Amino acid sequence: MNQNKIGRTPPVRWIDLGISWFDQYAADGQPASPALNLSEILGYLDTTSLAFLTLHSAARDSSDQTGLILSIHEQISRAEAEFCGRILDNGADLGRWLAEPATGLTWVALCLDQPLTRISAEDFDGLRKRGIHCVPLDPQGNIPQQLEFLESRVSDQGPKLGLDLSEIPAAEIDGVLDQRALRPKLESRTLPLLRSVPASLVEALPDPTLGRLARAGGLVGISLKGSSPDQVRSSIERVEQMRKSQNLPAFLALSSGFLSKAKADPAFSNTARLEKTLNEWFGPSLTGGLLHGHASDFITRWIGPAIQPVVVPNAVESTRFDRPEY
Amino acid sequence: MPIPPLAWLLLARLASAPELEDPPASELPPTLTVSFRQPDHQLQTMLGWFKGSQHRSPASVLASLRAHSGNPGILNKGVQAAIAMLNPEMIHEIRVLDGSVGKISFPPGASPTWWLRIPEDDGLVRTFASALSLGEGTQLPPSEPINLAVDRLGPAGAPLLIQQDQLVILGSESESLQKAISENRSVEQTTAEGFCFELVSVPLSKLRQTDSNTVIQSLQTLGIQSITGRSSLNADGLQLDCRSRLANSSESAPKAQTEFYKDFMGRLSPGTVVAGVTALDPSGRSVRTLYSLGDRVLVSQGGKPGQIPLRTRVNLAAGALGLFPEQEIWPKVDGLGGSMAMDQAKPVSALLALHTTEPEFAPLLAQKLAKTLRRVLSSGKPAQDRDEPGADRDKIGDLGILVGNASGKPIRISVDHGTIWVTWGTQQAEIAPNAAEAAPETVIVPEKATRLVQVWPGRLLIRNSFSPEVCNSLELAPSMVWMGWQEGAELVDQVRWGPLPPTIRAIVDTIPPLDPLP
Repeated sequence: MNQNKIGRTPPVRWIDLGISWFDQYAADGQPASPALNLSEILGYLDTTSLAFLTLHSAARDSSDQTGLILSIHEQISRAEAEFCGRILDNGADLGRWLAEPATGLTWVALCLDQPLTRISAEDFDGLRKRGIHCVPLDPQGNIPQQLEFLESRVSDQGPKLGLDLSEIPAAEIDGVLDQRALRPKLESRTLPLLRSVPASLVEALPDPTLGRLARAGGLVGISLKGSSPDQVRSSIERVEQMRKSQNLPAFLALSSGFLSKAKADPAFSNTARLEKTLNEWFGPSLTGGLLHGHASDFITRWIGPAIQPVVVPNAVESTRFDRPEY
Repeated sequence: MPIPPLAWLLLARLASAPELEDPPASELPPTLTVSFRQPDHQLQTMLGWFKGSQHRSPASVLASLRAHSGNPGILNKGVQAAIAMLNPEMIHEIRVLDGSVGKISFPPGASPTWWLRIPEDDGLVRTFASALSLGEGTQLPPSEPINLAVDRLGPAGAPLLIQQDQLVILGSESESLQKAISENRSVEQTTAEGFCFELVSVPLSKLRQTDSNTVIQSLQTLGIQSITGRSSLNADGLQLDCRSRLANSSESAPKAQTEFYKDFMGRLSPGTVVAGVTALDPSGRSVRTLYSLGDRVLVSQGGKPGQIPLRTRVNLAAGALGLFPEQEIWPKVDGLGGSMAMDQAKPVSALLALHTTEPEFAPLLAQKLAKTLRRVLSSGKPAQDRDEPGADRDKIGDLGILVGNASGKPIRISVDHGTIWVTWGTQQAEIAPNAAEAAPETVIVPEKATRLVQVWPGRLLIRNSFSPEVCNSLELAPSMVWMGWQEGAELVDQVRWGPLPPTIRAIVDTIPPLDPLP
């Protein structure tokens, strides 16, 4: 791999399907959260192209419905402040993200980690307007009801809804996909994904289920936390072998789980080590796909089509901020 | 580009610096302490400048710029990240920096060390410090005497971070972290918002000639023992106020020359980018300090210590031309002014003014200067063109005289109101057409001011690099004004730059917004 002039390897433009970005912040008037594994995110914004920020994972058990929604909105405001203008919300954003140079700024996608059964239609619409386009299905709740609710909320235009099945037991995923298939609007306006699941669950998923996910344009994100390196490697090898044999589109990506309480294996403890480990296992081609390519294709299907930024000639001329040559 | 506060201070001391005397000995290295007061209010104030614009904030301008230019990498990544943070939603978050204190030490002969202490971080600083760092960072296990886990934000030698509850400390090395833990002192006990700073210098005797920190060396040469100040944003623009304590408290201040300042500023040509006037101490102390400063800077820039002093070299060169500044100029001059006008970032005219202590000195001194300049400017030309002894062609008439040409432009000398005026190039409004149309700025100069500098950063542009709309706005942009005086053993300096909002709005509105405001 090429080295730049200060001896660092070129940054991996990783698409991370899950980071608990907000878990480390103290609530107003509360003491700061105990030190988490900040070493996990050393250089994270230098090497990450897009991160799926998980909202509200810490307070999901609260019984205060109003407080829960407010808490989600507060976290969205935080994301809007810290990643201002870089929240993936529509086709124009997608166009801008795709145009970002290799050394560009990190973008984020907002993902709800909150059972749908506790969110009203009004709240749901409000959250979607603020850029949340990925919601989980709650295995404890009534799945048909949740799908019916979503069918009533999805729009005919704009980004599709990411249907996160991460918490659905492996054996029940086929059933959920069956029910989704019964609802044409959901079939056309949602995309199934397992945003962050342990390698053991991927191992447990039968080939036909994986094939259905792939053909539906879905994505499977293997969580680097809660999975041993051997499990991660064997699950990727198995799925890739199956995918090639069935000529399916690529659908595997990775979720860091960074900043959550669980500790990452040293092989995955930060982005640089992760890239090194994957390169040793699979070589640069599949590593690039796992870290970026496969998720990028999914995101284009999910948020797209991309709208290319309109170049305004006058704006270009008028905004040449680089130092002129004398 | 705004001039850093320290640069202002250096300029400030050129005219009224004391003769060098070391203050009482101290073992501490020079230190710069900074603190942040109410950064959320400061951000809110700055965002207020955008009211009435199509953009809400710098972040909005950046997003539009990136999109419409077709080049998302139009600015450096770090700059983009910083600008993106300047958005309304950040007001709440940036509050965690309130009360933060940082310190940089400049040990002689060694690299500067620093620490930054954020007492009430809610996670923002530690997260972004870690995530924005370069790769190859690691977490070091707790060890004596800190006993806290230390995050190293990059490869060996990178900054370190520790956290204990809400307290976050960043430092250049573990010793700095230790110092920061034990120290909790802010720059000044004030509730005024802004960026406060305090620079404590050291006696000159403690500094080695080969030390390379030009700023510290220069301050010491200027006799400044310490500087405290505050820089802040207000509804109108930027302001900087600072007070410098002199090592020698018995120094007297040069006499203010208010009428000379007004006269000088009234003669500036429309394309002027920088102009400054200062009172001089006729004893020659100011000039000698200026020479000392020049020597310090030359040494720090690679010159050899112990070489012939600049003052000697200048006097020798001038003496060879028949001019003796130490006897003939400096004792008779109590005010000095200079300005430069530019077009397309190239100098097109300049003005130098020497205000004499007695009006009757001016014609004779001007004649002497004219004679010397003729010799300098005609060097290399045939002998018959050179000045002849006793010739009266250097006699200054009412309209002044032409003494030669430099870079194809004429140099003239004239005398008026006891002041010698030396001009290079034309003083007419042939440049910066919009600047020529600008209403004259009224600068209220306090009677006690002994120095005044005005800078027009907007006129430093190359016009074909920007759209006509942006050029218009920049050329009409207000000047940055610095003025200063002495109060007892302290120097007082003020910088004001405003009103900035109309210029900012006019410039950013040339970039179409991504999402038009309702």
